[in-house]
Amino acid sequence: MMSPNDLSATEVSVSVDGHAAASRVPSTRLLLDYLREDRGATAPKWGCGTGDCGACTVVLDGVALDSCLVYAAECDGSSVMTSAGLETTPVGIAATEELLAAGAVQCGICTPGFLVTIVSGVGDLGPSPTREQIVELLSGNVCRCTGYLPIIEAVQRLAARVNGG
Amino acid sequence: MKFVRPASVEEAVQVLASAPGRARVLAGGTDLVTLLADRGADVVVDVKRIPGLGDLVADHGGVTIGATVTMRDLEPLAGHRRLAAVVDGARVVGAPQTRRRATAVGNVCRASPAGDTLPALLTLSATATVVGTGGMRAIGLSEFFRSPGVTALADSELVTSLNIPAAGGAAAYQRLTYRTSLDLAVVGVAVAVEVADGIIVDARVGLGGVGPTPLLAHQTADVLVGTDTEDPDALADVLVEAGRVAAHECTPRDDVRGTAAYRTRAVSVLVGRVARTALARTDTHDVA
Repeated sequence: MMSPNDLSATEVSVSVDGHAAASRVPSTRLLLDYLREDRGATAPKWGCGTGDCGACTVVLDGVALDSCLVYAAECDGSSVMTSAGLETTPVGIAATEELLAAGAVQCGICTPGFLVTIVSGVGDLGPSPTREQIVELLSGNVCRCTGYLPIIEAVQRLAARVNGG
Repeated sequence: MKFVRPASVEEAVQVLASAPGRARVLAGGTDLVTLLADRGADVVVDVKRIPGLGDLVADHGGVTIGATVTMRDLEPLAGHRRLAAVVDGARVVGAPQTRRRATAVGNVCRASPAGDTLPALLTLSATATVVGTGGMRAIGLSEFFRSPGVTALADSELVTSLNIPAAGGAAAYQRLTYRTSLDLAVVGVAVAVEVADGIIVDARVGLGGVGPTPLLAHQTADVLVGTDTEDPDALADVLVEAGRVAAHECTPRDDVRGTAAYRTRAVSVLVGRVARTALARTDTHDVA
């Protein structure tokens, strides 16, 4: 049990998918662990733990990043969106539909990270992005079973759909 | 581990001085968080909320890059033919997720021999503005890197910004990796050149991944100076010679990414390639 005066703990108030809550967390608590274990937001997944696979990608104050490389203590006063929150937005709904239509989902571990990357990045792609632009956007997310071609196809169709192609 | 969010540079320096050698400065954290998982620290000093450290100020060819400016934040500098070399490096660090979080100053303080922005910063004569309990000082980057992961910073010191002085010419950086994203440079090369009346009048060459620190290859640069860029045959010969000299200025070692022999060969090829990119950029105009 942590003492309230424990210097190794930090008070953080974080909004997760629109729900604000304050709590005291150990200073070494990663944002990913905080989301999953303290906040019950299990959409972001543990993959590599070193920022290489992107399965833990969330949007922190508007920036898509790897939540395994961020301390919860850094996020006091911040707003986090996970794929669970983003998938209910208009772009998130469209992205989900395109990923399903393309068959871009297999085991699903990588999917929440891909969805966050796609939803947060598709707006910058314009209506008809090149394959290279899409690969670049997705380059921080690793999939080990579906493969990338259906995901790229889904992003192509999504970009045309949401960017007015 | 104590987590501190100082409101000023002075406060950050006081915290660093209160735990000499046992406090770490946290900006983007893309390297530090995993390092601390292995090694730990007594105090982590998060500098992201210190006013002013996020400033990126570019004017007349010079630039000041604040301590919390991210790789992604550097993108607008791509329109400047010299500073574009730094962006060439910033654009290949990690992946989009890491580039939005990782900072240029963090890349410098990490002092990896393969850090992607470091050869360009060296060729552009960048200095680090450093604040410690003894006040402020500037350290040229050629003095800053001591050995892998080790810098000239004292325990209480904090890098508040990088400063690239204004100068003419153009520059470029390229690296060799096995995959485009999420990989570390096997070797990286930056070349800065200034051309007057078709002649290379000034050159600097920075190399990464071929020694314990990123380094300036002075003899290689000397080979480039005086070259008539409008004589294609002469230029081709000089670039081959520059690559040959660069191979002798390296002290690479064998590791998981490549043998010393491979790195030496790769550097000799990249020097010519990057010099051509830098020369091509001298013909472009800066985008305001």
